[in-house]
Amino acid sequence: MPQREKPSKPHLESNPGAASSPESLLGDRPWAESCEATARPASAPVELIGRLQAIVGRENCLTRSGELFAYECDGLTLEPRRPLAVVLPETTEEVAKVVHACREFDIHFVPRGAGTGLSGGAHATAGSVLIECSRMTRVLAVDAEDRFAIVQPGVVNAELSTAIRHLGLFYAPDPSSQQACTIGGNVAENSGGPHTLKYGTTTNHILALEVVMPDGSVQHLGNQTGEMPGPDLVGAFVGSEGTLGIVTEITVRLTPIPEAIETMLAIFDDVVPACRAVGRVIRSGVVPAAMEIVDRRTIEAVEASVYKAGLPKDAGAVLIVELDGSPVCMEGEIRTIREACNAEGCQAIELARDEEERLRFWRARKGAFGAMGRLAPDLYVHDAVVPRIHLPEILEKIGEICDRHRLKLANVFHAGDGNLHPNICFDRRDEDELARVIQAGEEILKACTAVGGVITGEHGVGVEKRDYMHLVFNPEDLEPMYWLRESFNPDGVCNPGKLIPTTRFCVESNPKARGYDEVPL
Amino acid sequence: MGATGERGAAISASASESSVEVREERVSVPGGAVDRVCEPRNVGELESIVRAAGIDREGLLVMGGRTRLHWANRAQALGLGISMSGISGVDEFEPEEGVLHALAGTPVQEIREVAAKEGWELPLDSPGQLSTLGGTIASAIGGPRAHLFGPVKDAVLGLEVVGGDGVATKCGGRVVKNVTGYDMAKLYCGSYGSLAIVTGAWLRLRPASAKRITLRARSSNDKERFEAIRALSKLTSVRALVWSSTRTVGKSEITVEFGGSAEGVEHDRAKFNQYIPFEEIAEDTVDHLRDERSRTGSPVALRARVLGTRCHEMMEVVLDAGLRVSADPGTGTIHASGSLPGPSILALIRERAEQAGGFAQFETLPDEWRDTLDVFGSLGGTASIVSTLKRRFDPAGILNPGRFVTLGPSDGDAQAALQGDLT
Ligand SMILES: Cc1cc2nc3c(=O)[nH]c(=O)nc-3n(C[C@H](O)[C@H](O)[C@H](O)COP(=O)(O)OP(=O)(O)OC[C@H]3O[C@@H](n4cnc5c(N)ncnc54)[C@H](O)[C@@H]3O)c2cc1C
Repeated sequence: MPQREKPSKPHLESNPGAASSPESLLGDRPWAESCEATARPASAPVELIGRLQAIVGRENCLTRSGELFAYECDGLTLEPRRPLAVVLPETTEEVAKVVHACREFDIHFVPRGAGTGLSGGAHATAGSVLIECSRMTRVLAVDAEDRFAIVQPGVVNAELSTAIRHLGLFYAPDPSSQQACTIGGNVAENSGGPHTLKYGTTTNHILALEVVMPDGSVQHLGNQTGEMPGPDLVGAFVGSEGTLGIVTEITVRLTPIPEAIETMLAIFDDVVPACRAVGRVIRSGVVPAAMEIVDRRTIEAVEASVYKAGLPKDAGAVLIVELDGSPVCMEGEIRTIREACNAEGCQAIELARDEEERLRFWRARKGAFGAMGRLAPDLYVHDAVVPRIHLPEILEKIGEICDRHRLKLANVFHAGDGNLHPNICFDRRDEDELARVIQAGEEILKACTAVGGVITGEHGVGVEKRDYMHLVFNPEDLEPMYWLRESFNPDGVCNPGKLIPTTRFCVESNPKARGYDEVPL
Repeated sequence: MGATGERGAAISASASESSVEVREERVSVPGGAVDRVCEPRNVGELESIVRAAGIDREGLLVMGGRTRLHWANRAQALGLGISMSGISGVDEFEPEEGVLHALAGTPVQEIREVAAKEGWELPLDSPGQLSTLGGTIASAIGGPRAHLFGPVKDAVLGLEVVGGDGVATKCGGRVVKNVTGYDMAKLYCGSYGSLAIVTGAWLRLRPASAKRITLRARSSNDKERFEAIRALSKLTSVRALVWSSTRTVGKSEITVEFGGSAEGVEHDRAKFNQYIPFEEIAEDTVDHLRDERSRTGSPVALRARVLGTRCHEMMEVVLDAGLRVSADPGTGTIHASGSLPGPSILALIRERAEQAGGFAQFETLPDEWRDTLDVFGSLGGTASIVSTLKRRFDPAGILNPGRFVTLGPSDGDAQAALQGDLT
């Protein structure tokens, strides 16, 4: 198994107003020079930009330095990269034309939604064109009877559910970023959310896709029933992080709003018994809609922020359990959850008294990342998964790793899925601390994979974890992933350098693919 | 098959080097047969067989429980059968976690029993005692309980396969949430062993229902009633709802399996009974209905999937053609079987299924009809992607050649490309 030479950079969520802006970082990043060095002949971009402007209109083709500034990174702010241009198409035809134009000039292109991704999937690479879907916001069709909707990729996740609520339906995948992230981005990342436990991730809710392929052709994958004979191309596309093509229309499954919803807060004096209670619930046979854990440090941050929900500040951890379904089943299921929590010594259990209180609990949970801005100038949001039975020990281990590296840790995570988000609070101006953050992050991933876990449950591999793939897969395992990518994106022009390590790609046999190696970490 | 025989000998020599027993046994499938079958005992042996076959360009017929071998297009250049029965067993089970790992040759029924001992249920509903895990994943076919379980792919957390290059690889994992790399398992589920041979899988289990009952009622076939029952099938404790019908009898039989908490089941039973009277019947009736679908003994058997709102209309089309129907209105799935005078009716049924948002597959049909009908239907615009995948994943074209990734008559280029792989 190949050994890594240097640790990958972490995901850093910069707080507004933090001292080091992406611009100031640009100058001292080695890849920045690499961008310059690999730019195409000066005349090509100028001509290309003229073409792009003709396709989408001058106002929808951004090229000025000030305009491009906002597009230098996604939620992974450490390694900003300035694209050659950002285009904002409105239709499938425009996307296809943009792709054809880029190909003609041998320029890579990168799809982008709202840019909330946390693993650098939407980072521009070496002088590439960003194709942003934020103008593709139409809900094209809603079929309440057969429970599907057809949407453009730029539709914001939460807005779809709002738009169909009057039909008694909702779109189930609910990433915490749902007020901003797009369905196109969700498809690309196979995003999850607190309610993944019962409803599954994005992949379980996508029936069909229209895709502008990397060669500029338009393909239709799947159908409205969600099943097609043969290999499941829709399933393979979901979670492909924008490397197989650009999604231009998405047929999503809609879910009936449950008749009854009950949300409980179980208060523990430590995160470890809270994890054990999760294990008991899983064994009990009840499948809650969500089981989320928020630890003491996160509670402190949330209670001091606008997301304040009245969580007990002296609690070591809070377990949020949401049950939904038939009203006649609620009483028995609530009893089961109470028993599981009490058996692990929980201090108290509160049931949300009304819808307002329930939503307040969720605002606190979903606003937790934002609230952590109070704890330190920077935040490294990690994402890994372990078998749920290992949650108690892994939480202790992560605490031990962060203590040893003298780092401040806050945990808020999807406990029911074993999906951890250890958040390391730090100040990137302190180089020694930054090095310890990177080291701790790597140790956390190794600890998770050592117990049968994986390096990402929902934020994706992107550029952030590309070079950690070897912790889960050996080179042989990665080979079919290259075959899949080559089948859709044979010359590597669409979002190069993401998701799988770049080293294997055979430059001699496919010179156009060298872009994969132009993306140093 | 003379040339095939010679190449078969080469494989047999290679296989015997790695001491894999090759026995004489004739297995016939549409378009061809193998006269020799080997049964690798582990993945290493399977790798060496596939490698040797790749060198010799020897077509492999991969076999699980052999319940669905007929369900394929005409095979091309088959040489050696591979029985997966030797790679069998549930080798890891984590009752605390609700996941288990089983090898591909394990009968699905065996996995169900292992899971049930610890209060879990395997959410795979493939028929009979013989269906294996590998065959179930490769054909991605569920039974009536797909209503509750969802598609086969939802049960699969991770897969191990041996590719056309004879190399064992894995994808996914044992955890219930995972986006580490491409979701390769989705490609292998439903690709009928044409991209890789499944050797094992991590599976997600569901808590077993505390209470289960099965009810039956007789009903007319009219649309209003069908739609009312279809709406009731959305109640949370409904695990399966089967609508069985023939034109000759005129009346239909509705079988509903409920599961969940006692309160939930009683509540939902009452809702059904308010509509029409149901009687309680043997709890395992849905198993029988499911198994009957896979052994109709009829010259024609098909499976169509359409939008729920078009299910009644599709059912009428199939009944009008004189076929027996066993439908799952909740998922818009129609199984039908019987006799037909010629292939044109099947082509028409397929057309109607496509107009109703889905597709039709022909599980059993007279061999001569295969000249004009593709078992799986046209892949449309995606044929070129599928043929590219086939070329990359199985460059020597040895995995179930011609049987599954044979493309519709309109997809001439891709078809030619695939056949080119084999020559
Ligand atoms: C505060 C916060 C909370 C979050 N919580 C969650 C959470 O609970 N669960 C979770 O899963 N994630 C979460 N995320 C991560 C992120 O929001 C998701 O990954 C989201 O799906 C990204 O959507 P986006 O529109 O912002 O996509 P972007 O960040 O713009 O892009 C993400 C990836 O999608 C590709 N892409 C975008 N549009 C298309 C398209 N049309 N076609 C093809 N590829 C495309 C890009 O190339 C890139 O690889 C969180 C992020 C933040 C900042």
